[in-house]
Amino acid sequence: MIGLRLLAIVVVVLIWGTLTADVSGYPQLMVSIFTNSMSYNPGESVTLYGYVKDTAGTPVPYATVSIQVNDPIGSPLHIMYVNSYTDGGYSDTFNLPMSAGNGMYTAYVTAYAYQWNPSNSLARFSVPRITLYSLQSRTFGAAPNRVYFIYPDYGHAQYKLPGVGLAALSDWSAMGILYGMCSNIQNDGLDTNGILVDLSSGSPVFSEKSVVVMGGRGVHNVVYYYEDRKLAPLYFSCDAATYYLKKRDGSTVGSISISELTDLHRDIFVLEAFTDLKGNAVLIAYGITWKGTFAAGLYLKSVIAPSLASYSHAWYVFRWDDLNGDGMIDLSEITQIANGD
Amino acid sequence: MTRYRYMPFSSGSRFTALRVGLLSALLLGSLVWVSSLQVRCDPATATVSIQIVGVYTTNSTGHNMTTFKRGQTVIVWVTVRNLGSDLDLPPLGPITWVEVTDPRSAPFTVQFHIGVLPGGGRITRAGFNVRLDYGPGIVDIPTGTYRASGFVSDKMISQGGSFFAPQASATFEVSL
Repeated sequence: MIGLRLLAIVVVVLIWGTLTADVSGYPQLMVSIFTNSMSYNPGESVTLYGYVKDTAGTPVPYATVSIQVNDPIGSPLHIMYVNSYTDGGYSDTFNLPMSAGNGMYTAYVTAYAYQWNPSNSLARFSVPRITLYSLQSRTFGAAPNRVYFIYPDYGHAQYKLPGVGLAALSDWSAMGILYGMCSNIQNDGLDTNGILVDLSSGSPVFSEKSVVVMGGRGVHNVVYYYEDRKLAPLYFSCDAATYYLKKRDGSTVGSISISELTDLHRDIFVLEAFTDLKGNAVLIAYGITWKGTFAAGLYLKSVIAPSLASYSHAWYVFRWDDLNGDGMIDLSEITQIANGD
Repeated sequence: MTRYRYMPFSSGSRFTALRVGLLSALLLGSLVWVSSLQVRCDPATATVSIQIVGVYTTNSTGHNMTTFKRGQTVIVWVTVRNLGSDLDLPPLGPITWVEVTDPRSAPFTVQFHIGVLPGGGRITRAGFNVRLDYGPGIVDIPTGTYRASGFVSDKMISQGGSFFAPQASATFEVSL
């Protein structure tokens, strides 16, 4: 009888331990997910990739990675189970159906490993493919009042998001170049205007329109929103010595040292197109300094627009070097340093 | 292939009754036959042993078939063995899934079934009705080899769920 009671105690203790042990005692997984492009056409190949790591950034191999891709109305389009490689990376490739509808698709991922707390993440992409060229009909050639030119405010600091400061009027000059490219009268307003912009997030309040913004995330609520949410293809970053333009997966596509910018004779700038969560077609252009932003406007108007059909990527990064030292931006001084989707 | 997953329960309150029962059993000096308990569990914190036994296709009368014509209906069956306890994960789990991809490796359809997976090594079948066209009157789906893959998850991946085991697959042909 004593032996039986002892056995019962052992069984119960084992079961109890199984049921009540604290799952929070396990280390936390961290999973990321990216797409090889921000947008696709029906029939094109989509590659999802990412990494499974611990909180210190050490790769976690052989984790199970579950993927679900939903279409724009939220129905599952694709599912997959893979394992992370020895470097913590994983990938999955599938082809979009020819019948894939337009809109925003969402790829969800969950990473799980034995005696780890699971982790989730998501990435979005849109259909159809959007490029600088494809923006032509939705921006510069759009019907009247379909496009919103949103200027970075040089006042009303109280309506700027934390981390966003007042703009320089030079950003407005660059915007004027782009507005002048439009065939029709379009809307405009400030990034501090609550009628156009949700001032708690920086998101435009309208949908299914087009947005043109110039100026970086440091001065523009809307650019801050798109970069902070990783909705834009590229985002600004910096350390003590260098400014960077990076892709959503953290890889650098352009950089310039801070010391190079001090005399305003060189800069890098970005031109990028994408679709936001409300179906707006967005064009962002900015340099690290005001001269780079102005150069973006000049280059788009004078070089890109005349041969727009050849600009079949979603984003481009350029560098300007004032080779003749006159302080002015000459188009021949601008070189493309990267592009992508 | 079977993937055994173990994570302890983190929420004690739901198991108060179970604990009382176990304590009573201890006091009475009797053994508890655990596998007879219907344990409802949080999927992320449960002991789960799921094996996808296989995937196969039949026609709508249940005869095994691997060759179909455009416009026909194929039933894709996913068979799952649950070596653990009965698996019931309300409100939306467990989920048995099937994805059918066309000859271009594009998803043709993703369907899922939500329901209990009885444990104790029992096998559950889930059948999915796949009509081989794009919609009423449209029969221009590609011909060639289609692949049907079966999965089982605790809940929607979009809700933080994960698949229990690697998928199993079968192929079938679609002709004019």
